[in-house]
Amino acid sequence: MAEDKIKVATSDGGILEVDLYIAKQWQPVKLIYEVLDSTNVPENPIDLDAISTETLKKIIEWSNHHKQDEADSADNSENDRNHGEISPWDKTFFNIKQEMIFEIIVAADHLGMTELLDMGCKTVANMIKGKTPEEVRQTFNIPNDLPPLQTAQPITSNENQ
Amino acid sequence: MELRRFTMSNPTAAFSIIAHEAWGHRLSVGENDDDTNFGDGHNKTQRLRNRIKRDFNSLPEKVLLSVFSYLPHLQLLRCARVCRLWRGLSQNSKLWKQVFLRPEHHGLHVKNLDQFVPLIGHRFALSLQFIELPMELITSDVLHELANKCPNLKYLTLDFSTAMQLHDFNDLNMFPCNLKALCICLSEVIFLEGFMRRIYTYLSSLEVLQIIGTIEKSTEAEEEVYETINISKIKVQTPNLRVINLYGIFFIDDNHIETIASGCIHLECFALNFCTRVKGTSFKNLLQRCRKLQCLLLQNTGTSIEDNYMLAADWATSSVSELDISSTDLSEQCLLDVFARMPKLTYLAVPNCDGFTDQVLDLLIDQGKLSHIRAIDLSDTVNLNFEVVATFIKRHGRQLRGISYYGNPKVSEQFWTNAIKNMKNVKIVVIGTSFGWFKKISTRIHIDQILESCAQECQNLERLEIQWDQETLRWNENSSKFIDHIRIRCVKLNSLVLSDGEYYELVRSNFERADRQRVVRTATSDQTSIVSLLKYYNDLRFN
Repeated sequence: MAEDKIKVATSDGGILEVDLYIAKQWQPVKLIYEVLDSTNVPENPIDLDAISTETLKKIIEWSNHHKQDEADSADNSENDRNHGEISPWDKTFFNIKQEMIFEIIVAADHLGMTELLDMGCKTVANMIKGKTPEEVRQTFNIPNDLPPLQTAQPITSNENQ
Repeated sequence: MELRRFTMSNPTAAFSIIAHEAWGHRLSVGENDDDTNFGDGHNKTQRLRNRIKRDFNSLPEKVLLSVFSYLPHLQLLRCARVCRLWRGLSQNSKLWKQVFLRPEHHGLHVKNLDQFVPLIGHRFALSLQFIELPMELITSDVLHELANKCPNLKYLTLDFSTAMQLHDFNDLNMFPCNLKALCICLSEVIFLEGFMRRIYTYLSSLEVLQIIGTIEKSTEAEEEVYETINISKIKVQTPNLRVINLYGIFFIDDNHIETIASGCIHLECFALNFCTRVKGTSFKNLLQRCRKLQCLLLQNTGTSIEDNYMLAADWATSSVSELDISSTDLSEQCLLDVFARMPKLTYLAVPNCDGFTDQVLDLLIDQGKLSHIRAIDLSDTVNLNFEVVATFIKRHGRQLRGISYYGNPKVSEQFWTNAIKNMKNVKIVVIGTSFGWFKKISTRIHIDQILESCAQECQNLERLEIQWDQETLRWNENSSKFIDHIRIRCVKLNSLVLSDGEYYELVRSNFERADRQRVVRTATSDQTSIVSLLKYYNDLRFN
C-alpha cells in the first residue's frame, strides 16, 4: 500500500498534506470517513477549522515521532498517569512559546489526541508546580482580580508549620 | 458594574464569565448573553480562538481542569490565590476525588472544622472516592456529611493513632454505606468500641479491610496488651471481605484468625505482617475454610510461628501462590516438607530465614514450584549459597519481574554481570551488601560493569538498589560513560538507590545534568522492595 496522503485545510488558509495513517487518528477525519463510508481519499481538503498551519505542523511532527510508540506500548500494563515522566524528546518538543503550547493543547483536544493532550497538560502543570501565586501570575501574565482581603482558608497547606 | 457574588454552587462557570469580561473579551459577537451554555465553555472559546492571542485562561475549562489534575493539592491551594478563575477551578470537585487530610502523611492540614464540614458537600460531593481522615476530623458531623453527600465514596481511612480519648459518638447515626475499603489506624490507649458499634451495620459492602496496629509507635508490649478493636464483631458484618491486612497489631493471635477463617470465605489475601503473637495453630483451618486464599503474608511474625503448625496445614489443596515468611524461624525440615506440598508460587519472600538452605531452593527448582515465579526475595539468607541462586536465575530469570538478593558478602560483580544477562524482563533489582566492614567483604566491587550489564540487558528496569558501601565499591575514571549508558538505555528507570558517598554524588549529578532529577537517592532515605509486585499490592497500601 502506497503512502496515502490526504489534504487538510487550516484556519489561516493553508493546505497541508498528511499521511492518511496519522490523519485517521483525528476525530474530525474519523467522522468524515464514517459518514462518507468510503475508503477513498476525499477530493476536497478536509477543513480543520480553528487549527493554524503552524500548530498543525507541530502536531504532525509529534505524530511522526510517536508512530513507533503505538507498536511498543503493547506491554504497558500499568498506566501511571501521574508518575509517567515526560520523555526527553517530548520535553524538547514542548520547549516553545507558551502560546504555541496552548494552541497545541487545544488542537489536540479538538482532534481527540489524548496522549498529546496529556503530555501538553503535564508540561503546563510543570510550569505551575512549585510557584507562588505571584510567580504564577507572572509566568502566565494573569491579572489578579481577587479581593485583597483573604479570609482564613478552611483548608491550608502545612507548609507554615 | 454590579458586584458579582461568590457562590459555591457552580463557581467555575460563573468565574469563566467574569474572567472573560474582566479582560475585555467579548463573549460573543451579535449573540445574547442569555444564550450561554454553562456546562461547556468550548463553544465560546472556539469563537474566540480566531481573534484572540491564546493565553492560559482562555483555554477550555476541560483542558484547564486537565492541567490542574496533574497538580498536587498543596499546589492547587496556592493556585486558588492566583485569580478568580483559578480559584473557581481549583475548587472543582473533579480535582478532589482523592483527599488526604493527614499532615503527617503528606496530607493537607484542616485548621477549621466548622468551615470544613460544608466543603464536603460543596467541593467533594459526588466526585469524592477516597478520603483519609485524621483523628480530629473523625466526628459525627463529618461522617454524616460524607454519608449524605458523597455516595461514590469507596475508600475511607480513619486514623485514630494519635487519639488520646474517643469522641462521643452517640449521635452518629449515618455512615458511608458503599465503602469498598476501610482502613483503621489503631490507637495505643483508646478502645474503639464506642465508635465501632455505631458503624457495624454499614460495613457489609466492604471488600478490603486494613487495621493498622501500633507497632511503629511503641516497643514490644511488656505491659498488658489491649484488644482495642473487636475483630469478631467486624467479621460478622463483613462476609464479602477479599483482602484483610492486619499490620503490627500486638493483640492479634490465632483465635482471631480462626474467627476470620470461619466467616470470610471469599478471602483472597491475608496479611499478618508484624503480628508477633501468631503461632500458626489457625493455619490449618484457615487454608481449609478460605479456599480462595492466594496470598499469605507472614513477614516478621517473629519467632512465634512454629514448624508443627505450618506442617499441619494442608498446603497441597490450597490456592496459595504468594507467600512471605520473612524473618520467621521455620526450620529447614519444615520448609522442605511444606514447599514440597505447595502449589506453584508467583511471589516468594524469605529474607532472614535461616532455614532456607541450598536444599530448599533446589527442591523448589526441581519440583517446578518456581516455574511461574515473578518476584523473589532471597536476601540475608545465611545458609543459602550463591551458586544455587545462580542456577535459579539461569533457569527462571527470564520471567522474573523483581529480585531482591542482598546481604551475601561472597557475591561479587561477576555473579551479577552473569545473572543480569538472564533477567531481561526485570523491573526491580536489589543487590549488594551493606556494612562491608562488618561483614568483612574482602574484594572490592567493580560497579561499572554492573551498570553496563543493566544498560545492555535490562531496558525495562524501573528500580535499582545497590547496597554496597562507598568503601567496598570501585569505579573507573571513565565511570561516567557507564552511568550515561544506564541512564540512556534504561528510560523507565525512576529510582536508583545507592549508598551515600562519592559514587552516589557522581551518579546523582550525572542524572541531574540530564534533567532526570529525583531518580538517584541514598539508601538512608529510600528502600526498594519487590512488594509492589504483589497482586494485591494496591489494596494493601496504607500510610
